[in-house]
Amino acid sequence: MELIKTKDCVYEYVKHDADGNECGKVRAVDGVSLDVEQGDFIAILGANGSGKSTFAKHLNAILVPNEGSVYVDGKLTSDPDNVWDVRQCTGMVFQNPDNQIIGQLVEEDVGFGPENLCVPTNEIWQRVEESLKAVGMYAYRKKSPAKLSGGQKQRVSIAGVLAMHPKCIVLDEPTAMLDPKGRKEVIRAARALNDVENISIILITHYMEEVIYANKVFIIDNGKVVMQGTPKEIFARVDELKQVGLEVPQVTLLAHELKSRGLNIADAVLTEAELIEELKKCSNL
Amino acid sequence: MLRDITLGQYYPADSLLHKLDPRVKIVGTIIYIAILFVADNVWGYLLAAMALGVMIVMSKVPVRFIFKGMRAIIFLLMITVVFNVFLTPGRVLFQWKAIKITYEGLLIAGTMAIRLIFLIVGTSIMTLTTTPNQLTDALEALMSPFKKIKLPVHEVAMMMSIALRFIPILMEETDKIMKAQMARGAGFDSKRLTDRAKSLIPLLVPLFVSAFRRANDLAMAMEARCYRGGERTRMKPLQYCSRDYMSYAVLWIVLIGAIVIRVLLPAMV
Amino acid sequence: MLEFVDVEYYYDSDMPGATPALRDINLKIEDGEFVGIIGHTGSGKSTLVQHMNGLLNPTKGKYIYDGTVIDAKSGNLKELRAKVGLVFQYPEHQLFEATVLEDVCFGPKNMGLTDDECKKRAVEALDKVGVDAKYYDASPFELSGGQKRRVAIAGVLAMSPRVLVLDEPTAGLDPEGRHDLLNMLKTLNDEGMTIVLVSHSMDDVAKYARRLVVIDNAYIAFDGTPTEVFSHKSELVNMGLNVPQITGIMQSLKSNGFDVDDTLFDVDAAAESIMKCLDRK
Repeated sequence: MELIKTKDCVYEYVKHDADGNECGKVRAVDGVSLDVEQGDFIAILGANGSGKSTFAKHLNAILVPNEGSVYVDGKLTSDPDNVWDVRQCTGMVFQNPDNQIIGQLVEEDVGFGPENLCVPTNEIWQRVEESLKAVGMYAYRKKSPAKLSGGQKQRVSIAGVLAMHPKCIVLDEPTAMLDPKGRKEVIRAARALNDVENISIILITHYMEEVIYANKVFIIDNGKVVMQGTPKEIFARVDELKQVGLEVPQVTLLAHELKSRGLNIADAVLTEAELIEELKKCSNL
Repeated sequence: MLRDITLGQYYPADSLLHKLDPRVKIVGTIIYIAILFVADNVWGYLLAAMALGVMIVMSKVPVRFIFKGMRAIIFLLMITVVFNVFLTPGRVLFQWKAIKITYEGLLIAGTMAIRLIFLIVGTSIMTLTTTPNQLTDALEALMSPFKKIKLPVHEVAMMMSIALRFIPILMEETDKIMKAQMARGAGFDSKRLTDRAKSLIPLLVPLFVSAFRRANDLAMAMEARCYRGGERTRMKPLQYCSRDYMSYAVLWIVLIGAIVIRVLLPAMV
Repeated sequence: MLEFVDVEYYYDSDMPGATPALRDINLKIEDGEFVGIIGHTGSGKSTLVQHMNGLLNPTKGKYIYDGTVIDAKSGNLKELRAKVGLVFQYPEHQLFEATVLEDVCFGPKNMGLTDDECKKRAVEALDKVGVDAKYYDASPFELSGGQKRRVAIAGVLAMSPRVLVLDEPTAGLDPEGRHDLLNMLKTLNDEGMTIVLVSHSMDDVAKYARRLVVIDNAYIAFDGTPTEVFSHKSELVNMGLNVPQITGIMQSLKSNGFDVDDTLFDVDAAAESIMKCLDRK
């Protein structure tokens, strides 16, 4: 059974003008259907305003679809009785590192979720320790979150979700406000959880370099899924990506450029090492 | 200047005071305040000073750090002193035209100043040694009888804890927005009061917008982590141990001492 | 012309053991330059740019704008701030007026210009950043993120600065938004405006800036053309920075025996160089 299954998910909201009158509806999510299996690493890409974050909020029952359905672990999210089970099953990490840390100390923040789940005290401590170790933040457990870097704060947020023992973690543009170092830390932590703990990861982003590790990529534009496939399949379509306001990683772009100049290189080269291999093949001929 | 306010800040250290149950610290602070107001002679204040001194030493918080917080209230202190010195009737020590200084005025101003300083330092020792989370937990526990009359004790405690967490963030934000508007030629130092009030709009509007955005984000993040108020377990449940009972005993003894001093020894005024 | 002479800056200069946020800064930026200032979070780059319009004053040393020393005693900083426009990170957070046009007028109004002149400048500025006239009467809070940012930048441009300093202007924008914004800066620079672009993304600045200043741990670590700076790859990596992706690839290719130009950072030029190298074999 799929861990997450969305079918023709539609989300509309009513727009108001300056005087508070209704002035039309906006379809932020327009018929998205996708399946996530246990252990998947899914990337959802889209330009700003494409509806990708709105969609992500459906996976955690923060929003429920106007039309269509979202099932998480076999439970319909729009049934109010399922809300807390759904939220325990799919944890969520948001964009702004400052606006999602509740605790005054790192460990207290990680304990917040288990406390809400009524986990016994001894087990909370155990979970906090495990979770902080999994994201490499155990040494900071007694620190105030205010003293941490952006990347560290986001790792604490991931640990906070992890302590709730979810099957899936949705990361909603977790790196948008970070510097390159912080970005790397967060992606590395997410990948490790996927590899080691087999937790499904759904990464929402517009940074292409973060997508190459995913096993499935969905491109959302205007609330619709316009492309889906493996990173290789997606990144071979350089021009289509440009049309939806996205771009491929620079390596891929360079390989694409070389190919269009007549070099015999594979489609969608994703890493530097791959490109060098390909070029070595070319130069031997 | 905003950075100088140490009131409500936590200073991490490994001391007996830090380890004490926060409920004891709150009750202790209340008793300490009671002692201050019971005191009406030198011995009473000496007792309070001693209690304060012992607490400062025990807290392992640098004295300089504790008194840095005083800067913020110095203005309040001055006003209190000036009012009392000049406006208290009694035996005149010095007179110049309508202005006169009385013995009683000096005495009351002095005791008021001491009380105020002791009060601020005493309460800041509590906040310096207690994380806001512990503080709100303790408040919630101490106020739990009010739950019976349907007071939202838990919610109020949670609100306080969040407010405390966001104070430094909002202060930083204020600084940033102020600089951004100054870069657009805004001045926050106008002499005229009306201009000054007007100049605050470009600061306050973005600050409110930002506070609401943060509140919204935070509420979503809390719900996503299954927060629904009410029924929760605790990572750090409050549990009294022997040192807490001992502390209670000491506190009551000191309070009784203060009352005895007041009853047996003559008042100053 | 902006000039820093031996500038040192402390946030808490009265605290014993305080570490400086800036140290030994000697930097001269001529009119019409396009300078990229690079450093990771906390390196001191934001502190540096806040000196440029007098929001901060050096603890030691001198900051000079067009021959005038700017310090705590300099009286009218409003004039300097109109000449050196500073766009903060996430500038959309400073919007406050009821309409887009009024918000952009805020800067010119503070300069004491007449209402007509303010409006004229605001319209010009909004035009430059590509905000359509139909949004002039909209509330800035109703716009999309990218549009808000443009309006906020227009708010600084409306003061007609000669130098425009931007702190991480592309943070949070998608690829298209990023390109649009950087191209707009290039146009402004072509028209004669000095641009100082602060960023931690080498890829963003490499293509646009003609000069890079790398700040690390309160010091200026490197100052030169992009090509010069990118030749110090290992030092840059140690500072938590990196060379642009393309430069990195070219450098790896070179160390793998390919005879390519390893200072390039543009995809087309890199492809050109690789093709030439393969042709020769």
